[in-house]
Amino acid sequence: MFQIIFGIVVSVFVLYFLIQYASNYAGFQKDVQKVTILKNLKITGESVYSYGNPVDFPDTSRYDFSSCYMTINKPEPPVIKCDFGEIGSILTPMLLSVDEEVVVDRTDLNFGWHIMHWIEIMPETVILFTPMDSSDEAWNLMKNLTEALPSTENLDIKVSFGFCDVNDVMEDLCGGPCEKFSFMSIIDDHRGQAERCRASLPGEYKLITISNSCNPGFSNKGVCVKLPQGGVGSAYLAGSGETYIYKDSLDIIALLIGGSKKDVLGKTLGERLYDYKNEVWGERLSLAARIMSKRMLLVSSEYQFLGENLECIPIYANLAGSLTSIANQAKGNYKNEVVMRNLVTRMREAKSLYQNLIDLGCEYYV
Amino acid sequence: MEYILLTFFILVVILALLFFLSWWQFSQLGMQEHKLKMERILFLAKYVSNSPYFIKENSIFDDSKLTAAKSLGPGICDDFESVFGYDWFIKIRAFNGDTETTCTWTNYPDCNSWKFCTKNQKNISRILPVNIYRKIPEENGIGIMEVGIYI
Repeated sequence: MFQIIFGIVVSVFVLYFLIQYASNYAGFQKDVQKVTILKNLKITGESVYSYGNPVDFPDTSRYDFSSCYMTINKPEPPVIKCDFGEIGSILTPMLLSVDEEVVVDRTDLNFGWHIMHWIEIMPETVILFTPMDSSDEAWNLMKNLTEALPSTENLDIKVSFGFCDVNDVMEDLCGGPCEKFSFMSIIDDHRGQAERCRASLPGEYKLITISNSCNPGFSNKGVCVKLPQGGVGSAYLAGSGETYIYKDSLDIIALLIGGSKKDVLGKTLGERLYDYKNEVWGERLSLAARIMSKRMLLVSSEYQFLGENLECIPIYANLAGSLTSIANQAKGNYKNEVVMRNLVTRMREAKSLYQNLIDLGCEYYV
Repeated sequence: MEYILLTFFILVVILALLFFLSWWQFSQLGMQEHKLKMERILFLAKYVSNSPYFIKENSIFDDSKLTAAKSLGPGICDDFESVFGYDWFIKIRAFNGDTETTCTWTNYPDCNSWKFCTKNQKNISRILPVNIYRKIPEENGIGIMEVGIYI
């Protein structure tokens, strides 16, 4: 009897210990797998950054990564932060939204004298436009946004485009879903003013409303965008009371793909991605402008010494001055419309001067 | 008495198994570290070769951009940390038949070497052939790039 009782007690003790260890180990391994998947996603992003070829990444469907977001981590490089851990040293600028399988693509911001690459990581998405304004500016804005989003023609995970007008969701305008290039070819055929989208949209649908009446409570879905003036405009994200100043398509795309879901601190992931995008953009633009400003002076002084390309020398000097201003202003307050408008004016000036140098044969297209 | 001994030995075997699993996990991490260093060097090589700060087009360096970046002084390494990370270096040397001459503001374009973030510290590196566009006199040349990390 004693032996039976003793055996049971020892067995229960050993089993309890083993089960405890096994469950901790399983939980630990699950987090290790999640981190491994994110590391692989980072490596895929780095590869797409270098070569520009879009790819599918299906591994993210295995676990829930919806809590993950990009964040600045000064003085360290940016990180991807999730509720189970973080992946550090994200050196390639990334706009990230992970939910199920994702597509990884590269888009570029071309300033004329410099080009800035960005990685876009997003799940299967249908982007719907509600243009409450039928002007050329509205249509150009839609085209710019479409151009900046991933092209998924040869991929399994699709990003497609359409329109929403009140309860009418038009997403099969190309004899099926419109991907980027086919949407660009038919967008002008659907010129017209729409009314606010009131359709019930499932999670993979993202709405962009274009209206000069946008304000924090205007739309309860997606992003509401006012038309730009002088290259700068304001946008509003559903679920956030803030005004977001935009100067390029990626500001709006950051809000859109980040979305309205809030983190534990009550900040929308769209706002977090917008802040990350602008911090990285400002830092890299400033650095690029400093290097290029020096380069303009270096090359022009050499041309002066050699007596070559003399017609380009004053343009080089002006461009160097413009770039120095850009370097100083790029890290300014990106939420201030006046500051951003001054910066955009300088950037347009620099782009024009650089184009003059190309036209005169003194410089090359980047 | 026999049962107590038996129980004791079973427990010893179970504990040994657990220690073995933990040791295995840690040794895997150690091997992983070296692999990660090699991957980082390869990534840096690709990343630098396609970085708009230095290139004319993909995998073709622009010597005037390299010289301009160099002439911003040693502090440029701190600025590059947010772009390329920490503890890295690159050395680029163009082959033009001359002795190695580090490019500065004053001797450009009569120079052929650029070094960024070099330190007297233990490192591992890789050497790769590269293309270099000489802005003046607007011709393409070849060279080598050594890219490495400090350990």
